[in-house]
Amino acid sequence: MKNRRIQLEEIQIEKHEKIQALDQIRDAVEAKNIRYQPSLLQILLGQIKYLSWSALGGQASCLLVILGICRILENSGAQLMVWLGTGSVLASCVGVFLMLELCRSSSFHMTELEQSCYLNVKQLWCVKMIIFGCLDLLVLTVLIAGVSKNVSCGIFSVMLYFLVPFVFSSGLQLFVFTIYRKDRREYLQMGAVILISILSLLTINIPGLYTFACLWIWGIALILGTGLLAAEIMLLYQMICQGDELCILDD
Amino acid sequence: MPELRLERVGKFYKGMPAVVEIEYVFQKGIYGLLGANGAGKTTLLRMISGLLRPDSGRILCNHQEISRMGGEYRRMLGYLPQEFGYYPNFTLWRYMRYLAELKAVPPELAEERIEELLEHTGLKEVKKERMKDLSGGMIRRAGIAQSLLNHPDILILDEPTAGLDPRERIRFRNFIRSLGRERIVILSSHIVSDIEYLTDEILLMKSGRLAAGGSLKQICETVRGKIWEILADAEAAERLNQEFVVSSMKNLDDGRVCVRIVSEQKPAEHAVWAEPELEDVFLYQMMC
Repeated sequence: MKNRRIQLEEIQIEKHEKIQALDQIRDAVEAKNIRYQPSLLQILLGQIKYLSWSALGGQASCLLVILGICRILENSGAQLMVWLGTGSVLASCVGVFLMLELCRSSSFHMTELEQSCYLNVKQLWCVKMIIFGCLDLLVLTVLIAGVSKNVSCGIFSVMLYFLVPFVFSSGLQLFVFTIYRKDRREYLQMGAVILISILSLLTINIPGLYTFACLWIWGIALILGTGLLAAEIMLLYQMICQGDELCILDD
Repeated sequence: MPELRLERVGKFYKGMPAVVEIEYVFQKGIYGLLGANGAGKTTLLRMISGLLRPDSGRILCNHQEISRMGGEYRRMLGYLPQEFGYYPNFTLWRYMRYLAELKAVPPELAEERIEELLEHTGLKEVKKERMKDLSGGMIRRAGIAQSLLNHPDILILDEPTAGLDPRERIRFRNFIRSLGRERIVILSSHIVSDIEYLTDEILLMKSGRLAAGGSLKQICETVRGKIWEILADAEAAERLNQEFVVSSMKNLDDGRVCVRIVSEQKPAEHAVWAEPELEDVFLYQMMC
């Protein structure tokens, strides 16, 4: 048998055109702007490293204090109103650590520099709010769970009773943070926390408010407080975007 | 290379004009903003950095409004504010890492880039020191280093030489000079010699307005014929100083004084024209 394999024609390569084509590809690759775009998860994980230890430690201590107080109240067989009063005061304090972190962020003339970065102040504060918001929710969940298993009014009611002081306390602290830019702002914010704590203790003196019939009042208060908090966050972000207040904040 | 275009940019503070209808085009090179305190230099730089929104006009980068570019514009930007902030308890290394993350420098490149910049700015030895323990000059150099972390196409430096001793200032000037070859560098200063030495183009600002703009030669040409020198005795020199705007008085060996005067009119019979310098232009614009 004869060898019937097909003989392929030798391919002619135009050396000059090949070089030209390769050059064109190289130019196109170099012109391509490849940029690193961190994901939300990468940003969150990256920023956790730079949060202040005092704020994170404070948040952790708050959790331990809640667990400790729940144990003490359990052992002493505390009444419903004692549980609710103590829980309301603790809930007022939970949001203070985010404010401490935001105060630190705006205390060392860093906002102007941070605002000029790819991840700017608006996004940075948003990341901090997400991190501390999650931690707040964790602490509040522990508080609500700890109290609700020892009282008769149910977990939903307890959640409402505690979320209201938490939201109003956070709102008032954010208000102080937004409008008051002088040194020692932290003390004024502590004052805001104490004020809300006292107000929540005052409501304890009206036991009628903590009945099923008055739950709608707590619901409205929560919606109102959440609305105010959201409006304040929007106002703060608007101020950052406009820039004037941000630069004054830094001056 | 980006082109930065200011189109009738204006800004008001509490009803008072801080920057008034400034128009200018920046391309690769070093630009110096010169003006007295309160002339609007910082406000203009803050607007170019995207920190402040102009009340009128617009700022375009490659024909796109910077406020619409958002993060993509900030990615191209390096900024050294006048009041350079830092977290005092951060070490220099941690501080640079923090800003590298904010500037979206790829993590695998960040360390190498930081090392390189600290080397360039002579801060490698103190990278483990806390920021609060660094000297004023070191802090300023750290400021410059952080502004270059992301290889910016646009570098904005507000009073970069403020607070530096003469040796550091010279070193700093040479460093900045090398940066202008491949990017837009806009810096502000009220130190005339810094602007004179560093910049390719000068923008002279007065009461929020652009009083003059162009190369050093072009700027100096605007006052040609208005700069005079007079040789006078000490008493006459003092009289001239009170009567005219004097840019310098040099004591000569023979006891006489060479008085340099900025004036539209010939100040004295024996006054002669002198070659204008940037300081003269600055004084002339201030007196107008």
